[in-house]
Order: sequence, then C-alpha cells, then structure tokens
Amino acid sequence: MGEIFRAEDVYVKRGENLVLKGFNLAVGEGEKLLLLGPNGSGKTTFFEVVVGFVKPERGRLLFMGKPVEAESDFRLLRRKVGYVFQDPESQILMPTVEEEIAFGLLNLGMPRSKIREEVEMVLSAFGISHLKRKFTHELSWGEKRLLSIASIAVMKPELFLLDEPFAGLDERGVRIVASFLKEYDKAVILASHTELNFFEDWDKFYLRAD
Amino acid sequence: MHISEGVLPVTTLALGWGATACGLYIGFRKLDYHRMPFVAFLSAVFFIGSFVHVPLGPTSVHLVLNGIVGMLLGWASFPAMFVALFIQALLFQFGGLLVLGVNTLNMAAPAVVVHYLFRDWLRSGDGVKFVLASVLGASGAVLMSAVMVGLELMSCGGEFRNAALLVFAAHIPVAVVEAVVAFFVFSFLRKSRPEVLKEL
Amino acid sequence: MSLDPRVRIIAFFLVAVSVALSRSFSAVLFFLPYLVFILFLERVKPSHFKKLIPANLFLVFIFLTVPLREALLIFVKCNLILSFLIVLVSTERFPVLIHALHHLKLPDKLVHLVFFTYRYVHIIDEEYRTFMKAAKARGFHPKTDRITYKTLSYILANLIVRSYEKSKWAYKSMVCRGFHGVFPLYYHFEMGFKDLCFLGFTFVYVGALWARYSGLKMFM
Repeated sequence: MGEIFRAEDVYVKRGENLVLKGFNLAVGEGEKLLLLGPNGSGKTTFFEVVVGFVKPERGRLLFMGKPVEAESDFRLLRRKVGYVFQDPESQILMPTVEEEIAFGLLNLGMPRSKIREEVEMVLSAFGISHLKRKFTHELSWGEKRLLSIASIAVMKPELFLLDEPFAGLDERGVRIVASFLKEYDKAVILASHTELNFFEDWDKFYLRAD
Repeated sequence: MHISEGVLPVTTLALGWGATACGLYIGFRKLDYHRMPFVAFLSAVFFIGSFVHVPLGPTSVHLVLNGIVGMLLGWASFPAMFVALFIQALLFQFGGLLVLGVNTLNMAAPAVVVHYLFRDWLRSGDGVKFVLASVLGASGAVLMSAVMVGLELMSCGGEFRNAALLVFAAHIPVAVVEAVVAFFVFSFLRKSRPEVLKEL
Repeated sequence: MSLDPRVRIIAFFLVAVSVALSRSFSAVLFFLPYLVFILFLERVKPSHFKKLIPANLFLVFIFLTVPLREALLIFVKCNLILSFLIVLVSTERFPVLIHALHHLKLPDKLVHLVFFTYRYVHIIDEEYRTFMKAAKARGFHPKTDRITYKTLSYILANLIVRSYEKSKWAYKSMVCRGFHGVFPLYYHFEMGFKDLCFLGFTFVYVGALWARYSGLKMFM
C-alpha cells in the first residue's frame, strides 16, 4: 500500500505557544484515521499545516512521496487534498447550493456537463437534492454542515481532512456522513474531541493539550 | 442618503458614473484576491449600517458608516460601497441603478479622503491623535457626502437651492452620531483587535 | 414569462435611460403602456410595489422645496424607473442576474465581489440580530444615552472583528478548492425566439418615442 501523506517531527508555534511538538503522522492510500484530542490540542493547526496555511518552525512534510516546501508544492497538493473547515459558515462562498458545490470543480476545469452530473450525484449521496436551488443563507446549521462536506467530497480528494464534521448535525446527518466516509475509497483524517463509536475499526491518533 | 431616480439631470448622472468608474478602476487594481473576502465583509457591514437605528432624542437616525468603514478600506471603498448600493438598489429599490454612479461617488470619495488624511493618526500610539482621527474622520466623511448631495441637487437648477440646504442640515445630527459611534468602535478595535487597524 | 436575464437588463437600461432623459410629462407618460404590457406578461404580484415607499421618502425633500410642477415630474419619473426595475430586473433570482451581468462583460473582480457581498450581507445581518437579541435579553433598552451608544458601537465593532476573522477563513476556502484568480461561472443562458421578439419590441418602442420627440430635442 502506497503512502499518501507523512509529517515528520513537526514543530508549530502559534504566537508564543508551541502547539505541535515533534509531531509525526503517516497516512497510507485508503487509510482511515481518527485524530483525537481536546480543544486546543492542535488538531486544526495540524490541518492548516497540511494545506500550507501555517508554516511549521521545523519538520518535514511529504505528499505522495515528494517533499512539500514551496508555495507551488502546496498549490499542487491542495488540488488533491480536501479540507472541511470546523465552521461551515466561513467555508461556504456562493449564494446558492448548486453553485457552492460546483465552485471547486469549475476551478479544476471540469467540463460543465460533467459538473452537472457530479453535482446531482453528490447532492443525492448526502440526501440534500431538495436543497439544490436554495440560497445558502436559508439553510439550517445542519444543512450548512452537510453542504460544506458535500462541496469538498465532490472534488474526490486523495486525502480528505474533516475538522469536527459532526458538530451540530442531527442523527440523520451523522448517519449520512459516517456511512459516506466509511465507504470513501481514499484516505481520510477526521479530527474530533470525542470518541466516535461508529468508527471502531479506524486507527486512532491522540493529541494532548498542555 | 441615497438620491432617488429621476431627480438629477443626465449630465450629472453621467459625470457621477464617470468619476465612479475611475474610482472602481483604481480600487480594483489595488485590490488583491486575498483581501477580497474582507472587503466583501466590510461592504456587508456598510450595507447593514443603513438598517441600524440609533436613537437621538425623540427620533432616531440610521448610520451612514462611510467614514468608519472607509477609513479601514481606502481605495477599496469604491468597490465595496458600489456593490453594497448596487445590491440595495436591486433588492430594496433604495436609490436606483441610474443614480448608482452618483450615489457611490458621494459615499466613497469622502471615504478615500478621510482614509488618507487620518490613517496614520488612527494607528498612532498618541491618544489625542487617535480620538481626533476617529471623530473627525467619521463625521467629516458624512458632511462631505452631504455637501456633494447638495451640489448635485443644485445642478438641477436654482430652485433646488432650498432642497440642497435642507439635505445638508439633515446630515448634521447624523455626523454627530457617527462621531460618537466611531470613537467607541475604534477604541474597541484598538484595545481588543489592534491588528485590524495595523493592516490599513 | 421566463425571459433571458440579459435581455431583461438591456431592456431595463433602454427604457430607464429614456425616462431619465425626458423633460416633459407627455414623454414620460408615453412609457405607461409599456409598463402595463410587461405587467401583463410577467404577472408581478402587487406586493412588490411596496418597495416604492422608501424611495419616495427622499422626494419629500423635493416636494417641500421645489415648485409643484417640477416636483410632480420628478415623482412620476422616479416611480416609473423603479417600477421598471421591479418588473424587469428584481423579479429574477439574484445569482442569475449576477451571472447575466458577467455574461454582459462586467469585470471578473466586480462580479466576484458582488457574489461574496451578497452572501456576507446575510451573515452580518444575522449576527447583528443575534447581538441585539443578546443585548436585549440582558436588559438593553435603546435611548439617547452613553450606554446605548456604547452598546451599539461595540456591536458594530464586533461585526468588524468577526468580518476580519471570517474573511481569513473565506480566503482559505477559496484556495483550498483550487481558486486561481478566475471567477468560475455556473449558469449559462441561451437567447430564444421570444427573447429576441421582446428585445426587438423594446427597441422599436423606445425608438418610436425618440422619433416622435425628434431625438434629443425633447430633453432641452
């Protein structure tokens, strides 16, 4: 099994505090990982390091075997890594649901007719086909959450990062997202502050706050 | 204060559009994509400002915010205020599309002026300069807008002189309210989020 | 009737500019049949015209100070132009209109900013309401005093701080989804036969008015 992503001995400072100290983590192709830790333990910071928003003080990142350092490396990496933010409100950019989902695919240069199909498919996979034409500001919190996950899922990332994706979701939403992630055939890292009992078979990785 | 459709002569409308087009050109050229979301958010704050009613004696006034938001935006005031007024015109029929050029100019030109006049004072450690910058910047921008509205009304002909004076007078209490609000807003930002002011 | 949004925008500007240029009642009233015609086509709900009220507040200044005949002409022109805006433009869904403007060659950055601002207006509006509720739940009662001004200002300052923080994440969201400086457009339109008919009719109507008042003479 090939390796998708590896972080070696990563140190990250936020202001005066060291958030990550000698952090090591590796994800293989199709591997599923739970990143567990209390608030402030560096889960979000780690995701920001992966996509290049936060530059580590020290350490090395490898994506598909190649080191990631320059901004141009990160630009290529971001086309293949999907990142669902903790706050869907600041992730959603477009006024309507279908445009929001199409945004990433249009940027990737997919032909329009193909995009239409993909949008339909992901909408039905997340059980939100009825919201297609709705304005994003009319959605409930849970619907915004589903949309923010669907709009990344539609890009079929090689590595799927999700930051507390279940916060504020109702039971139906949790079931939809959990079964989608279980069946997703590529690598997933899911950050959560609580143990999630429906992912028993996933590897767990603990972060400590201090 | 938005001027309504059908009031101004066509030459004034055209001049307003011309000046606003120049402002937009400069504003967009200086506006990088990474600042775009911030400008859009402040445009939204400017938009909502017209719905914030501040009690004043027996009545209330609504905020204009072109000075307060403008000092943070500089040349980006033109794009930000143009878009806010454009959406207001489409959704609520405030102002209108033909007078959009004039209305944007009235809001954004004073905003650019106070940004360059006062941004150094606003960032300075000197408390007196800071207070002067917030108070004069906010009220100055409102009064400048009022003068511009007045002049544009005068361009309709001599019989609009009283209308112009009346509009200007109506802006004086607004300018006072904005000055007080600006003092509190910028003090808050300076204390709790100085980085917002540093990036001016 | 579903018209191409680009056709709506062009038709609006044609008639609105003509009304704005007119200096006589007869020229302005010439457009009433055209308005009635669109009303008949579009079946606009009367409630849409409630939006005319705030626009007329500005005209109070005019009525107070300007000779009545002049003020009446302004009143008719203003309401006519805004009525055209309501029936031709505002009835279309907002994102569709913005796409149409982009297809009419408005610059990329401008269209982008309109999209973002439209979305953030709703976010800021909701936050403002939430802050006001929170303040009122703790006994805030607006009147002309220091505490009211301070509270309202701090709410406003908080909106600016939230804007600052959320905008950082919004840019990250663009970057994460492959944004590279070109605004992606989703909706595309095709002009059909009825669109061309409507546009042709509008041109002829406006042209007839210009001919009748022999071009620019009517404006002098």
